[in-house]
Amino acid sequence: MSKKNKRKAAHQDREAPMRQKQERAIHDAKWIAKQIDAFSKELLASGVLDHALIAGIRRRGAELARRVRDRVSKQWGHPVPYGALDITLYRDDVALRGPRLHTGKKGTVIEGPVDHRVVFLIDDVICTGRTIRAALDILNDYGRPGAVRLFSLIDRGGRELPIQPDRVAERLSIPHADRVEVRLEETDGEEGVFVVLGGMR
Amino acid sequence: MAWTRKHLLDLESLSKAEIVEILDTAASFKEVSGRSVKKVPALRGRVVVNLFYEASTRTSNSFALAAKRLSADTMSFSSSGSSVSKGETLIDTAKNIEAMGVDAFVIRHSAPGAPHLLARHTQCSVINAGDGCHEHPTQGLLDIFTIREKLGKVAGLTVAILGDIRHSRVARSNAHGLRKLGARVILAGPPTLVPPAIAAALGVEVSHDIDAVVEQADALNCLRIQFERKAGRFFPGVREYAAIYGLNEDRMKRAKPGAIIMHPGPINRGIELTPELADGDRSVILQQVSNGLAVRMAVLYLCMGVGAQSVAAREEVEA
Amino acid sequence: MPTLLLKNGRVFDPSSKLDKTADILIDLQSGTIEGIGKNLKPPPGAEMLDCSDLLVCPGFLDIHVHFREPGFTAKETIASGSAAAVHGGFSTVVTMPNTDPPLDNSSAIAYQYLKAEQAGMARVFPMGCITKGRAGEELAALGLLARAGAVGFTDDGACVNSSFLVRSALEYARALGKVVVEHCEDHDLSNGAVMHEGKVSAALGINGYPSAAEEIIVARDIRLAKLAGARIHVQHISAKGSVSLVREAKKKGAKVSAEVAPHHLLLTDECCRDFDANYKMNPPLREPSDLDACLEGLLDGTIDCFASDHAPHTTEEKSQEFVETPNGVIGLETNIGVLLTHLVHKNKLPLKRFVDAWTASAARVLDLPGGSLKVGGPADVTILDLDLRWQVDPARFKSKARNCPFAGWKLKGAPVYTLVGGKVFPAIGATMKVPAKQKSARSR
Repeated sequence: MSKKNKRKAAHQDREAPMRQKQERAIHDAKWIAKQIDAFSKELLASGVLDHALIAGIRRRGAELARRVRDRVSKQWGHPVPYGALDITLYRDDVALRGPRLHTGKKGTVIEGPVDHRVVFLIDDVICTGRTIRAALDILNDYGRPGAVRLFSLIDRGGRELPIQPDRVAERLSIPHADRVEVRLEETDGEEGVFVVLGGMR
Repeated sequence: MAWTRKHLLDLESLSKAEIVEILDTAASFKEVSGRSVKKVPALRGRVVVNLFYEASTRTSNSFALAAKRLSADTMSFSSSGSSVSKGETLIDTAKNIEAMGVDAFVIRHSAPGAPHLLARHTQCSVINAGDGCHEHPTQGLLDIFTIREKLGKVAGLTVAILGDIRHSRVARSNAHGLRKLGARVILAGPPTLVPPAIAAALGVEVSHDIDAVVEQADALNCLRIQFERKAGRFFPGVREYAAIYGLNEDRMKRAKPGAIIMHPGPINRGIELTPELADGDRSVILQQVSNGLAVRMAVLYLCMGVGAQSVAAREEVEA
Repeated sequence: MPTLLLKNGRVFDPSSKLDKTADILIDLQSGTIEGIGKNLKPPPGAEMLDCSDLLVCPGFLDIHVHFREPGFTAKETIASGSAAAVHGGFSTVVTMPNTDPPLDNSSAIAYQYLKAEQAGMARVFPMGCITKGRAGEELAALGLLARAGAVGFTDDGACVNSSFLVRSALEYARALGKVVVEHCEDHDLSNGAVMHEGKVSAALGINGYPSAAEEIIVARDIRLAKLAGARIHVQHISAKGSVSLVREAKKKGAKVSAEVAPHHLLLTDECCRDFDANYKMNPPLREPSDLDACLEGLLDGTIDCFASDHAPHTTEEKSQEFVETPNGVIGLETNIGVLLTHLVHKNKLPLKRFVDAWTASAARVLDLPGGSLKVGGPADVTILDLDLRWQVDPARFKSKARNCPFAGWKLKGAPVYTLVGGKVFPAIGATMKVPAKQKSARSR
């Protein structure tokens, strides 16, 4: 490739994502912090913290769960066990979409036993419900939870399985083709909730 | 990167990125072996067939367990007491098994290239579990995985592979993989067991002076003398071999402080490696075995995912 | 009197120093050439074959083919092999005796002659074994074999490793006026190897066959031939060192000759990387420097002639594991095309030497009839279209076998007709030729 063409190609690369993926921010870091706060308060009021497990689905759900756990543990004064669930090996679409790759993932980590615990399962966005189905299967493989409560930051609808969250921060009604993205400092280098137009394509 | 290979036939044709992908995937699968329910549903409903034309317990069990941990059904087929002893060809055998609706073949065969031949004649994924003296890609991967895990990196390390290089598929897979990841590889052994063209063929160094090699190596991978491949014809005797080319405690005094000792097993104890070293502090031989499971899970998961994907795509077209 | 006129071709025969546009008149009753010259007047009712823009050569001889009958007729028969020969431009072939039973007795030789006559296509000359059952232990009945028509003696596929037996065979052959034809391989050194020993075999973990295993026997046989005062012919030469041994021996006046197969001039051991058994043969494909040495030997006359070592096997046999699959590839129907395309058209080999090495020089090695265009001589003619473009499609071969290393190759130049005793057989160039119009229709 000539120098000129190379420069041209690089230019196109920069432009391409902007053209294809227009996005708008709908919430900022402050909003996310407020929801973490609200979730934490609910947990503190639950009365089951002595036998709770706060778990999130890798990667962003796990990060949200870690924040909630840290907050709850601090205010309650005792550490609450934490779990990060990697659903890669529990997906039901390996045959359709091929293997998911693992860059940066560390597998499932759960502190302590699952048996009889009330699991507060946290994820960023719920849509079809298939991810949650996979997460429930992981929990089952680790033991028999006393109960599982599902918390999601965003519910964008489009359920394909009869799974409903117990607590949602916001319900969004957006076109099917658009994608909701929760971005976190630790995983994405920025913080906020975004709608990516055409992001599901 | 996206994983696009349906088969794992050798490490020679893999890119550096693909090797790293397998290693990273394997790292994330290690966790499964630590649970009380050591099983995940990733390959539920799929069938993996172990097609072993050479005796093996370690590798076939490792593959079978890896498949089971991914919830695949497994079936094993060995050459004795089967249609093979009645003179059936590899392709006929494979096609008959394939007709039962299986998804992957894990094949071990004494003929180099047998997995490549099978891959040309089947719709299933084909995983090479050792083809003659050619390659043993999952062993190469698990050795590299173990080096990376124990020493924190691969690039820049010096890895010595000692012994019966001529007959070793492990040496060939290791050499290709390690070189791609930036390690320096030295193949060392008696002149008759290190084929003359191997340095040029694999892009590695060759030495016949074990003491000099031991001094430089960060990892020493001792190979089994393959008596079953008549390796005994290539050197004067076991006692001479152990004295001049074997790894013993005395010789290891020259080694770097952190150098590790590996062996693909089964060990001819006291010939290529003394029992003291095999069971000693530097030995990572048992870690190799447990890492083998994670690596084989990763390989089955990646290749069978792609294989199933192509089947799904085909069915979609047909429908 | 039935006659055939080959009209207006470029008559090309290095042995008769012929290279001119001329006609050839053939007497179909006797199967001989009646006249060669410009504007020959055919008698009324004569058939005519327009040879404008075609090269009219003496019938080509392939002195090394395996027709597998008796014993392995699933691979090839004398009839299918003869059909492949004339389809590939060969009017004469010499068959190797590694049949089952092997051609180590006079009735086996007579059987091949009979089958060839029934097939009625190429001229087929069988070679007899050196040792009984090709076992390398006792001499076969060389005298009776010669009387039955064996044109030479070989254990091809196996080398006679006993120097004593080779010496005895050479002495016998001298008295019979025949040639001992040797597959040169020191079996102790090659040790069951299935490919060339080098970089590729080292990478593939396949037991390799060093060039030295061939060279040792070439050197030994040259000395034994001198000792016996007899002629030795080196089959399918493949190694650089063998070529220099033959060259030096010829300089000193030794009675040695050699042949080379097209695959040993065009393919290297790199072809084996994918474990494709269609690149497995013995002697094996070697390295670029060996190819260069073989070509050089061909150019300076060290190597006398080409021979295909046409070795048919069934597709089932060839789709086994590389080390298990039998040795050999077919060549009769690609010999001419691949050499024209990759040596003659690339100016690596003069057309004259190309034709000579398939005709007069090949005939001379075994004292076979033919190899030149002479008035009164047999009307064995190979007619080539040097510019015909075609692609190798084994499905269209007349051979029963498909183990062709050149499948899919795009070639320039092909035989279009083969004449055996005046009888015209369309060759691969004629059967593959597609008129321009049809061609474009097909591509759509």
